[in-house]
Amino acid sequence: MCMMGAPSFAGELTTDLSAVVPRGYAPLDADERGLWQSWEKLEELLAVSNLRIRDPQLNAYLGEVMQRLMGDQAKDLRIYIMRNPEFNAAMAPSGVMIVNTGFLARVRNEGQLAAVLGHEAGHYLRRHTLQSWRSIRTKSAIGAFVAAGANVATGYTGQTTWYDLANAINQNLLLSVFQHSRGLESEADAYGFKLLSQAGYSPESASQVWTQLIEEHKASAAARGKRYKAGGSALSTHPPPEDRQEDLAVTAKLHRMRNAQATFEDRREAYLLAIGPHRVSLLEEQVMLNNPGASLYLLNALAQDGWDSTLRFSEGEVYRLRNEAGDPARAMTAYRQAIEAPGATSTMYRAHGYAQLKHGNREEGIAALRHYLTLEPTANDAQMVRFTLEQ
Amino acid sequence: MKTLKVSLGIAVLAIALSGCAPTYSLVKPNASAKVGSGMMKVQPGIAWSKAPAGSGQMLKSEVWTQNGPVLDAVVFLGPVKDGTAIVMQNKKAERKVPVFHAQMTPQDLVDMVESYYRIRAGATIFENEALKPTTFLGAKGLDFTYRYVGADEVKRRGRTVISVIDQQLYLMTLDGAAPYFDSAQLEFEKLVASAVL
Repeated sequence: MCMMGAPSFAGELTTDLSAVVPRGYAPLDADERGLWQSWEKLEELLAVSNLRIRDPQLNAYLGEVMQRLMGDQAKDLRIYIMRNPEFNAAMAPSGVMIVNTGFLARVRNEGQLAAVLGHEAGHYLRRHTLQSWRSIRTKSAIGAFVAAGANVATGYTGQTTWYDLANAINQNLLLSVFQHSRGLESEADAYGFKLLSQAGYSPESASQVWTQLIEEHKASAAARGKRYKAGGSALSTHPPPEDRQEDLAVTAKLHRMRNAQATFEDRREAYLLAIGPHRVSLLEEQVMLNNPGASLYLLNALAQDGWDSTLRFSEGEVYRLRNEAGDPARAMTAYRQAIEAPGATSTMYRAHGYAQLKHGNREEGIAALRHYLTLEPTANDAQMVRFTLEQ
Repeated sequence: MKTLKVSLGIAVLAIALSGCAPTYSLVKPNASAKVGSGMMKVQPGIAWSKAPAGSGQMLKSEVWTQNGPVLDAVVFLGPVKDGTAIVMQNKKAERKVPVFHAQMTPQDLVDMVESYYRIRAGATIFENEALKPTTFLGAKGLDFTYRYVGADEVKRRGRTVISVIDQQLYLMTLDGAAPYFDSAQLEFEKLVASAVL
């Protein structure tokens, strides 16, 4: 999901594109075969990575969404969900799709998930990586593909991660996945929109994702007193260009006008059901980075569908970590709201208890920590909590 | 994909590999050694290699190792004043390790350490294993054990003891890839037990 490009006027995307990669596609020429071979090696590392989320239910769910978007051709893809707090996803020419947890954390419903997965499918179905590979190779005049192949063949083991290996083999290999031209990104947006709308998802889903990401970056910068910079680069956390968001919004508006009788869905419940067991850790990944502007924006964005105990608890955590004037009180309020909401967990009671003690509300703090120990008598911090209660 | 940009060797407490040859020095066993900024003294039971000054990520910390800091490291830090972060960080950095405050709860201190690992080591998996009270530097403190996977995707474990004395934080950490961590635990416990101000 590349993030580069020159500014342009917003306009409707051309969505009458057809796939150039058929079901069961195999590479044709030497360049492409070499590219696939490099990715086979990388895929082996992805498959055994300690950062991979292997939950069969979540993986199956993403596969089902791909099936809704691409039909039978989704079987040609392999999805790897990787623990990485950055918002990103990527598509290799061989059918390897990488989905970051940082992207899953920011999605409100299945429509938004499908929007980004559809975009990546667009890169695959239009063979963008090969085009980008050739373009980058030509521009850099490195032409190191032969050397890259040799590295793979000799079992290069000097680095440990799939990304390190890719970078060591050839930086162009990585750039070809993460850095497409403005034209190819626009085409992937268009193809993704086509898949999204064909599958019956809300057409605004794609532009919503980008809007949220842009606003999050603005909030992040503002919270630290920095100036927001539009645009960005593929391998950074920089925001996407606003013109892509605008193109997608215009395309969605026109699509809805032309299909006034159609019904669209975002399948939020299906998404929440699948992501449920991971939601706390997905938010924790963001919150513990102590980027309060981004985290608070994200939580408020997700809360457009309603605050719940997890979101309130996470809000309390943001304020507690930031710890500026007024934050301890804000954290205390958020923790109280968390334990008063359905689904409150033992961790939320512990946070509430410590916050109350910090504020001198000894009785309520002790009660909350005791409740925590009642819920989790063998918690891995039970000794510490008991020690605190004895002070 | 910021964390993906992080290259090899982000062992948490450790050493930025550079083109210059680092100068390690020997820490002799069974002799009192001043560590960190000189306020703490410990007595090692075995010989250690002391990493060059300034190689630890934590502010004014000292790093000892048996097999190289990517595999195992003991870090000494302190004193850290109330209102100061345990690392040097840009005022406008969007991700910042929480600032230490003397009134922090045990959970606050634990999360400050976790946040440090996530921000500085690219840890995306971080699991608390145990948190219990302890005595460190003759004061009530906490003893926190955890496992994590950093940006280099290696499984590591860590153990941190903290005491807050006169509004200032003192910390010792053992960090290492799983087998190295295990084999260094006993010596780490002896170091902690020997630590005095």
